[in-house]
Amino acid sequence: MYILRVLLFIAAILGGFAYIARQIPQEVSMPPEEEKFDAAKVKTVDDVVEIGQKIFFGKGQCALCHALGGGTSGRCPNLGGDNPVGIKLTREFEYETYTQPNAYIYMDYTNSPPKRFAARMPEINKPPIGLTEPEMLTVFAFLQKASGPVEITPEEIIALANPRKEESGQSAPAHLEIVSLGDAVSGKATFEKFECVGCHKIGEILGGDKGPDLLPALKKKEIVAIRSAIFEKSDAHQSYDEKMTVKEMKDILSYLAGFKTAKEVETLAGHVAPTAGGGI
Amino acid sequence: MLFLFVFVGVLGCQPKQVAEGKKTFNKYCSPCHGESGAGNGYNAKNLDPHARDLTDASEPYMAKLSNQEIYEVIDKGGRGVDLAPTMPTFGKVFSEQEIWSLVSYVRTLHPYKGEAVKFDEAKPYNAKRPRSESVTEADFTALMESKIATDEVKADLTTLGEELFDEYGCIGCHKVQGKGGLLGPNLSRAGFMLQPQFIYRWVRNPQSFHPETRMPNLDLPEEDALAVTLYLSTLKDPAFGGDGTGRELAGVVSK
Amino acid sequence: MNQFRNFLKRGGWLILLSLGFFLLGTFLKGGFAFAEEAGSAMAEYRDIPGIGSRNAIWVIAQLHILFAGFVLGVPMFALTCEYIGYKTGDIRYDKLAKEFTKLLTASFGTTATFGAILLFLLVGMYPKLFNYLSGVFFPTFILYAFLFILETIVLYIYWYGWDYMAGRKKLHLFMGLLLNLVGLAIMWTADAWLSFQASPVVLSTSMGYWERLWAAVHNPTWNPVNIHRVIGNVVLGGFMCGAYAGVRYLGSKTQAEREHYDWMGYIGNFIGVFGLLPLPFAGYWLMREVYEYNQQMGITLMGGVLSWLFILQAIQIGVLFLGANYYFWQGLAYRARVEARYKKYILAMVSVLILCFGVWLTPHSLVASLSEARAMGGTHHPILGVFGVMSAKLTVVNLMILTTFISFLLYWRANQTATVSWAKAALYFQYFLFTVAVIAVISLGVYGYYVPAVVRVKILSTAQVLVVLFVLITVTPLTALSLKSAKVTGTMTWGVMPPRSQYVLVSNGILVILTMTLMGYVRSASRVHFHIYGVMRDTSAYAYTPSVGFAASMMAGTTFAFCLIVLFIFWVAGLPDKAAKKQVAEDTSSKLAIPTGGNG
Repeated sequence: MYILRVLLFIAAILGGFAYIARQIPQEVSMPPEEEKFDAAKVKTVDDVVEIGQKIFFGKGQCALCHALGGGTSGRCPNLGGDNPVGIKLTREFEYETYTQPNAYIYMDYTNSPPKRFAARMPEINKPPIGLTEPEMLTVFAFLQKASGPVEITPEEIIALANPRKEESGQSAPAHLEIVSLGDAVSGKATFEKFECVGCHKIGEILGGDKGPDLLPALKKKEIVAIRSAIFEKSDAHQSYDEKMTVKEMKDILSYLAGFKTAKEVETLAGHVAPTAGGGI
Repeated sequence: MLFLFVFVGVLGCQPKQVAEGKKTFNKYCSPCHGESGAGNGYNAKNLDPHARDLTDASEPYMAKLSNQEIYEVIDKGGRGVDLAPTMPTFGKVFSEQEIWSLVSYVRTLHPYKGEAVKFDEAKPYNAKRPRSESVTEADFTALMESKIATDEVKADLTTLGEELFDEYGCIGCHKVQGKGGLLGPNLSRAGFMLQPQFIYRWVRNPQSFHPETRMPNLDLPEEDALAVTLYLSTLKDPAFGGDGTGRELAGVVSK
Repeated sequence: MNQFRNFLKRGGWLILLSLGFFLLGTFLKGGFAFAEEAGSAMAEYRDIPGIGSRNAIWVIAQLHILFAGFVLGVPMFALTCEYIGYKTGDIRYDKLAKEFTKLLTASFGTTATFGAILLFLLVGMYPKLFNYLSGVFFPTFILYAFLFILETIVLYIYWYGWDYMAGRKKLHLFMGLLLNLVGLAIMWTADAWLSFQASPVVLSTSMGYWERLWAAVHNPTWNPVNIHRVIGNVVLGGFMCGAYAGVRYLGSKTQAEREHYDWMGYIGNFIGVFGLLPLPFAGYWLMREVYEYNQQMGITLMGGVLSWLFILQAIQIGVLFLGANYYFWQGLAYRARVEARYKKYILAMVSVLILCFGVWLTPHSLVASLSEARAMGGTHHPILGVFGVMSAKLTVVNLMILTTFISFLLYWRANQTATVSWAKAALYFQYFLFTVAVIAVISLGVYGYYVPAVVRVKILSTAQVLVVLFVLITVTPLTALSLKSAKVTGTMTWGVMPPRSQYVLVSNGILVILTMTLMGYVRSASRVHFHIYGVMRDTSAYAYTPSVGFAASMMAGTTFAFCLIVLFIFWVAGLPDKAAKKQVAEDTSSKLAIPTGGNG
């Protein structure tokens, strides 16, 4: 039957194709290892930069839009070449860019009149990218390396990666640390969960007398200092390092940070509990 | 015969320079002076005084100037010829040839019966752009240490910087707190965003970072640049976004 | 039934419609909730023992796409044929369009079946991926379902109402147009999902729901894939119909049948070839978008692990061009009987084609390691120098296109002498045009070696394309005009083509199908170890990229399976006609039968 002849012909073509394909060098391409950030691997500045580079081209997805010198894609700012962000931008602004990318709208000034870049930058610390703080800092170290000297030290990365393991009295200087805060609403619940009001009051918010009124301290001190107070063991205050999760810590700090900017709340006149040395 | 050759050569060359001048004009000048030179560029409405109307629509101002005078305005800037500082200084950025080409193009924008700009093949203008020295971070650090002895000195320099910002005409291109031009980035948050050493190095020599930038090298002396840097470093206003409009930013954690 | 009709007439339709909208709204709202629901613990992958989940999806998806391509491509030229029949009054075209549509309708159910199987497999075996995609694209799923219902309705009306609407051709043509539009919409909806997987836009949580959806749909490779597939569908449909006609020709028993299928094969092949000509440009645009979107992916495709696949593609397309040209030359020899006159030209063309094929086939040096590519962020990459050999390849593609066009022109002009006064001038002008085009294409190709990649890709290759397109667009109407009322000096004899020409039709069809399977694989493989490139990693056991040999075996096997299914469908679709013929033959023979008995 002619149909059989046709089928045979078809089989011959397909067979020939498969045969030719097998003559080409055969190679199975395996997926690369998933990168997990390991603070223990961070020893030198080069380590930091290397990790940052891997993240930039890998899980950070930065290279999807940003070029590092050379030509521009027009989709978003070039991070090298004419625009050496490493030596140009402050850390605070970098952090804002990562976490609130649309707080400042970058314009393309090579255009006349200037116009917005085509792409919108996503929040880097949230899914799907979800970089942690030490990872973000390594990326910035990599960007610094791309245009000048690196000013980020491995110690800072390690400190950020292990917030509970800070040596007492040797927390990183406040202006070098990126402090990220969590969710204030959950923080209030956490505050209640750990029954801080058992010892502390905050201005008009009733609480116990064993510890001092938190409001003046909250207004005066930096968040990092308050963090130290909660998580380091001192004579007056037990350490909550082991008891709280990192998320709970961030939430509580966010909640407490709200008091810094709140309007003045009257403290109960003259009532300041004595503290037994040290403490806040 | 030679004269004819030179004559033809001169005339023949004119359009080329005019074309070059036009390219330069469209990139650097049209944002304020407009595509036709009428002083209606997209940045013009932010300028006070307004950008010069180069077409002489209302009065024959440009026609009365000599070529050399126009050259000087471009070369020295408004500040250098006692006019508005918002006309930037281009002498440290453009080559002689470029400025003369610009002049020859500008001449085509308004009715002019005077002498044309001469481009001599035998004695061409210098076509190389002036190169200024790069400024390093170490320069900045050294300057800071030598000039800023006390907090008071710093405060005085900062105040001076604010004045200089207007005097040098920066406000013509940059917006600060709602006032100023659209040509360059909004500087209301310059202190928050930019490292001070970068601000200093950029202000003193923008072309060392970005050779094709529209920001001119205004030839600021060291101290003036330092003052402006200190002033800009104080600008951390969170309410203004980069698109030049004032915007409330929700949820910014102020430090 | 009557009561229901009354109910509808008296406003019941309004109630039903509202109910429908309400249900739709609930669906959508449910969709939102579905999208917002936090992922609970669920299986990420499921496997099928033996074949493996990835391979199962590969085969089913491929079959679905092949059928879908056919089902979407055929209406385009069926409608065109019907329209030509309507305008010229030549009933052959209308009958041809109907025959094409018969094949289409028979395949439609199979397309949907494979689509449904594919969906089940995806949902069952890749729940993690599907959950993510549903979260982003759910409204498009609903849209897709509605479009399918719409297409079914329109297709049924178009096919079953063909003869019934013979008196109202315009309405029928409108149905055909509707069918095409709905088909396009279906394809473009599905294209959003697969293009998003390859070129996702990072979806920020600060975007609104519909904003995110549109950004995801409107991703960088969506439109290039859309256009490429529209043209590709036409090519697939054309060559498959040509192959069908070729097979039927081989099995024809009467001269009338042979003539009919010869002609049908010619038309089908013609559509395929002319759709083929712009196709590389659409593919090239797609490649450019990939490069602009993500250099990494572009380099993987053209210079890295997947670059050998493009050599295979070169082989396929080269053989396809040879086959298409050969068919025209056979036509010159057997239908127009003018082979002798054109023999030397044919020889020249064969040489050109083989030479170009050879250049196209040559593998260029491959990238040493991808880590080098990762270290650079800019456009001017040392590895892109490899892409520079693309300059040669594009040149020869253009030359092959021009050669094929010349073959077609020879065929077109065969046995006709132009009678218009300016015929000779037009001819010389065409010689001139072709000469200039060939010189231009080669010059641009050579020049391409001396300029940076950006100039080459953006300016020179575009120029080459435009030159060729210009020739095509100018010469075609010129020839048509110059041949108006031309003197026919020989006849076109249909139905006398040798069997080998029909085998060429079959091989053309097979090669096009194989090319589709290959390019589909390339697109999927460009994601490497990601489900959604750069966003969602593939953490299953099948995350690796298989070897070229294995992939080719899968493609060949799938193509063969497709051929078997198609043979079955087309055979089955032809049974009613066979039965009708048998009936007619029986009736005739019974009428002619000498009555037994009676007067002796």
